[in-house]
Amino acid sequence: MEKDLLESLLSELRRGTLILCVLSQLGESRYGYALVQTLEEKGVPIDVNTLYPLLRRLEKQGLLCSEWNTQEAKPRKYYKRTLYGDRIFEELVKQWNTLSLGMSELLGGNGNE
Amino acid sequence: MSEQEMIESYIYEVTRRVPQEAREEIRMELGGLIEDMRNGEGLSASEVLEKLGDPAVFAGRYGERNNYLIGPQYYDDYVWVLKIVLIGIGISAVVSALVNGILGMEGPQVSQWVNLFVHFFEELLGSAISGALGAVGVVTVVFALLEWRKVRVKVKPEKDWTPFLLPSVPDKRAVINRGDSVVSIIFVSIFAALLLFGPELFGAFRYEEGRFESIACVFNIEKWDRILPVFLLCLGTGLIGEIIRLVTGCYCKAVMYSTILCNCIQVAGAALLFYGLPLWNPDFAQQIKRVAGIERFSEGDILSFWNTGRFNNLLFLFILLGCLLETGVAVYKTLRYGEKTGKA
Repeated sequence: MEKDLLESLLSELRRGTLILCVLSQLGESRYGYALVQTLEEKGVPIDVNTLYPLLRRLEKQGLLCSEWNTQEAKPRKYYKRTLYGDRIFEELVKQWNTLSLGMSELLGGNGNE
Repeated sequence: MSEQEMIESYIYEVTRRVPQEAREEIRMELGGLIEDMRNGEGLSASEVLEKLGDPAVFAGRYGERNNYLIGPQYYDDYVWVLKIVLIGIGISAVVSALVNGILGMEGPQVSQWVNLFVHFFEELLGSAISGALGAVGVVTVVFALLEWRKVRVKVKPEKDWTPFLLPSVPDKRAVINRGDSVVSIIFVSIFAALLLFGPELFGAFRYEEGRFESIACVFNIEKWDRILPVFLLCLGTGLIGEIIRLVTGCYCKAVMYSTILCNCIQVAGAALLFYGLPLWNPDFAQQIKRVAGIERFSEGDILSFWNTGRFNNLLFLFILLGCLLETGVAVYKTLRYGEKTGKA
């Protein structure tokens, strides 16, 4: 029971940071699976069935643009931040920094009181 | 199933749940992803698909369409109306099953009471289940349409909310009494269920030798299959009008227009019933006469007006006046008090 609750709280916590994680890695073109691997290597794993719909949504919102690369053996859809996406990303980073400072204050120097 | 078939089936199960225009692209992207996962992580097709999870969940995350019929804004009202309608159906099913059971008794013996008991439950189950299913269907469709319309409206850009956008509390004289709507909904449900399950209950009965016997039905049961749909259309329209009143809660333009429209349909339906269809049993008066042993009706006897057309004129006039009164009240209250509510 406690484990389930903790799981659901953690997933809620992660969900809030997902967009920032994805946007941070799309300053240059990447296809979905490459992004999954990069995020995993950096210790922020994301479910594939969450990432792909998210990429589509961010594209619809104008934060990302995409292009099909048909030069390689198999066609892949590459995503990249748009100029509008850049601006939003910068703003999000600023907010994140303020928030994390505030959180550090709240949780004390070592992360707890 | 081969690995390739399994992959194709998975992709199909995801793409069939997403909007048409996105299907082809999602299909290609998903195909590439599965291949990358197989090559990159050395997994079998089934392991990859297991990692991707239930295709319905995957498709749901694309979230490009509403996956509900009636949203939270209408849900409470929906459940409420459904309860009222089902109670109405339940009451009428019990009444009609009981009356039909008593009519079927051939004496006061114990075996007849057992028969009554068995028939009662048989009929009760039959009529309650079919009536309840129909009612749930109608109410759900009405609310789904309300929900759908609201969703369409919401697509328009909305102003930022400020306290100044709060509608003023409706004028007391514009508030629609919830009790009135409930009574109307119960009455319409009971009447519709009785017409559906026991039209022969509307008639004359006599009690003789320990059993009830039906003498004559006022309706033309032989032509009932033509009459019933018009009857139900009128009652259904009334039900929709009442649901709109109940949900809105006060006189406003939605109530005004729906009242006008519903009443027009009801008056047209009543005109069709009284003047276009053979609604009444033409032999009703004769059948009563025969059973009661009456030679001829005395002057002024209400039954002497049967088949004369005056009866129809009177009833139609009554319905017409009722509809005009209801429309008049809705128009007057909306224009006079409804405008102030902000909902009008």
